[in-house]
Amino acid sequence: MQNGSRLDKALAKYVIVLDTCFAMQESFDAFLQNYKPVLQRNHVLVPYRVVQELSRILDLRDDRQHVAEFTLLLLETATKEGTAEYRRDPEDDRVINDAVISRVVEGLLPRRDVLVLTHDSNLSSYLYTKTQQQSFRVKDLIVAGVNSEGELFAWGEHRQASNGRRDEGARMRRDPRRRVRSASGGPAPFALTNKLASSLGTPLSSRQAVREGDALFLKDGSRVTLRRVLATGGEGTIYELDDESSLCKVYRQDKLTLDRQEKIELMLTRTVSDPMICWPRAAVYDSDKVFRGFIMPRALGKPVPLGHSLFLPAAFLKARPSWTRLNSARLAMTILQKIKRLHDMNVLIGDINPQNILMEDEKTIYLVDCDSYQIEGYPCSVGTVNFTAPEIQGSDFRHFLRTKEHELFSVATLLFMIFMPGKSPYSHQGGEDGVTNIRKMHFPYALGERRPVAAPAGPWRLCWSHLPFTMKEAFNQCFHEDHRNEKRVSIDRWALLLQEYLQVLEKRSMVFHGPARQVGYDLSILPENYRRVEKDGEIRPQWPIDTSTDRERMVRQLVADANSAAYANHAGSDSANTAGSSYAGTTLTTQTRSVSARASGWTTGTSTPATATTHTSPPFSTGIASTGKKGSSADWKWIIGFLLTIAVSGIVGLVWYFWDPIVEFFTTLFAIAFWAAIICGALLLFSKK
Amino acid sequence: MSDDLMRIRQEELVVNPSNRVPIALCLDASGSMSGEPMKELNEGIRLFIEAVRQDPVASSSVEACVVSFSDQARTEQDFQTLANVVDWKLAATGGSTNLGGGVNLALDLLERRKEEYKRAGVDYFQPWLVLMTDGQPTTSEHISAGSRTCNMEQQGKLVVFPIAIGNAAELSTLAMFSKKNQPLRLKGLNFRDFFQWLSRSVSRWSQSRPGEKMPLDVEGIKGWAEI
Repeated sequence: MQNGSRLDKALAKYVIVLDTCFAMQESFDAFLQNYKPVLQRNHVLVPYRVVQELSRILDLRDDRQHVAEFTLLLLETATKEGTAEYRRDPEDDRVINDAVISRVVEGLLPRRDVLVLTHDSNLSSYLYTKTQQQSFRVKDLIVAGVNSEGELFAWGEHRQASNGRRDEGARMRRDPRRRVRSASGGPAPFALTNKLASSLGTPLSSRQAVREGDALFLKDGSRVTLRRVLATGGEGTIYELDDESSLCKVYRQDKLTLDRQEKIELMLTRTVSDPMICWPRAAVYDSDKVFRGFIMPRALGKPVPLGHSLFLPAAFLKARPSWTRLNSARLAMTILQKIKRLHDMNVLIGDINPQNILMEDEKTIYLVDCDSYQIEGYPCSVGTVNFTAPEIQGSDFRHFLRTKEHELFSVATLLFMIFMPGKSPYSHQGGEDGVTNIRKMHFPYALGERRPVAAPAGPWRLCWSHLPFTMKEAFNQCFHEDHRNEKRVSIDRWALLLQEYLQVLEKRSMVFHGPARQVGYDLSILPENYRRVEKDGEIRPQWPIDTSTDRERMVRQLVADANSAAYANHAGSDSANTAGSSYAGTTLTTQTRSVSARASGWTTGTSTPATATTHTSPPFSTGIASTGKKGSSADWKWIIGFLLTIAVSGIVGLVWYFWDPIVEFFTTLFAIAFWAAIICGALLLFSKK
Repeated sequence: MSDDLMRIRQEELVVNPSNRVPIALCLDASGSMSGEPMKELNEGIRLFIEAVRQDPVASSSVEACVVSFSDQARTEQDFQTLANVVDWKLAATGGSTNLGGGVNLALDLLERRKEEYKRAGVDYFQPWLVLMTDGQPTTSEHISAGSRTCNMEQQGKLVVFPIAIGNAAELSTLAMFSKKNQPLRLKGLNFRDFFQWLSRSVSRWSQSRPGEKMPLDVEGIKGWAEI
């Protein structure tokens, strides 16, 4: 048997890497016995991750528990007998699941021939694809499995893996909700690279025009007929198919390039069975065997893009009046889970934006436009200004590979827009450009002691206050210019923060719904009052004396500002600016010093009932800090006046002293008192005005 | 403006924080417009309001103001979301055509509304100015108004649609108001088709992504304009 001798040679000479699913085969024991002499001279490498996996299965206590236990025992014995060796690399701990095996193999391949023992068809095809693609010379790679007799056999290109996943056509008709798992977990991740694919931009010439009613073909030759056009876009057209659970995207002929074909075919080497991610399931070709597009699962029901639903809060609440903050938090969690799943495969979405995420309800979302994802050397050629990190604004995305950091900015922006419904962190599109604001990293919201800076005012501050401090901190970390070059918050951390938020929101005692005057989180997504907390028996910030809501007072302030702007005759003049800043820096009513309160009243010309602050630190300090300008200038007047008084009376006293020493002492005192009184009185009148 | 009205305007900004699409309609109300033309114009506006109200996204986003000009320029309706609007009825007040005055007033109202947006932290898309006249301007104010609109257009702060009604209006005068959009002549008194096209365009605009370049429905323009 040629195959057999090749394998024998491999067993003797190649580096042997063991995968968990191979070890869990029933005949693993037999395998170890059969090949014991060979293996004692060239032992099997057991990545430590395999052991971890087996331990994990053990802990899960499911039906594979005993197999795992037995396998671990076998491995122990094998290491004692010298047929196996554990191998632990600190790098491995940072990568998950299959990635370890593939990483180990990829690390070895340039220098050594490798024999991989596995039953995971995904891993197998991945490794073969990798070696075929390698632009540099690799050594030989053999992927082998074990049969029921304990004998080794090599998987070929067209293997019949025990968890077979061939036949694209059959898969199409299968219920997409049935989860297909490989032995060791999710699909094998893609390689990480920072090299652009060499085929970028190479056009594919297609002779035939494709229309409704035409037929296209799968790789195995089976036909699909394109039915009704569902949508047309810049890149191509989406058609319905006879199979109602799938759609077919056909690229425009002038947009058909080799890298698109390669990317789709690469994506097809992995199965993503999650129906909420519209991952390509098959590639379609025309009768000339030219690649034309791909087939993807169809979203069930009628989900609406976030940009047309939740991010238009006024209209959204009319359609779904029962949607609360809790729903938004759960929605955020669902989206985060999907994104994590893609990141675990080393896929970057690239163009995260509210049109690519469809929502049915808080637990059901669909990620579409999956062919634009960034995978290996194939970039995501599009981007949305608001979701693009400041450092890469203006880049040519067609020739640009994004990094995780860039993606985390988009993720943070998306989460922000979920909780501040529809508002992007750097405001202002329309007349003013969003790009400048993003580059400046002007993030205007309050955090802790820091006051909100200038625009935007309005309902967003109310929303912001109903986020927990940890989340505000996280948003600040991602958006504020003080953190310009720092690492952004990771998906895992967001998941943790969201989990904590969810726990709070699910506690009846911490939440309420509607404009009632209560302490805690308002479940409404457009709250009417700032959040109140109870601290040391007091409610902070305090409720004002009148019965109006913070929202109403905000309206009053805006009316006052608008009127004073009209007064000043030009919107950009002094009064509007001071009106703006006094609004930004307004203080509480009862607890601040009367000087500050009166000072702010003087600026605007109206007795503004002060609006509450948006955070929970002691109000007294903020009162002083925010009206700093007016307060300190009054203080200076006191000091100057006092010094002046002393100087003047000192001079007067000295003059009189030289003239008449005895009596003048008392007169000097009187003079001092007299002048002091006059000057202080004058200053008092002046500052009170 | 009355206190109540002002309060409602500001409240709208706080209660509905969606991004706005401000549209300024600057309409000729001179003597030559009286009778049939004014009737058709009013009908067109009514259809516009209806159509926008029915689109859930546009009804929260679109804000329109109406300025009429004859001898003087008059604010018929200041910027407001269409959901709250009572039906407008323009009347031809006779007299001359103070085109420049009308445009200037519309731009002033727009500036004021933009300041209100900024104070309330509400984002807005590029505003539109729709200018419709059936005759020649009788004052020379239109020259300065024209340079004002062209400047704003160039800075990307305004989209202008100059429309000529009937044959007496000179396209060359209207061309002063926009460098990017050619002035178009309305087919007869086909205000309805125009306002339908406007409502559709505005709906699409309100759903677009920030920074996205939305091409105009040029095909649809052929429905109401004489090309």
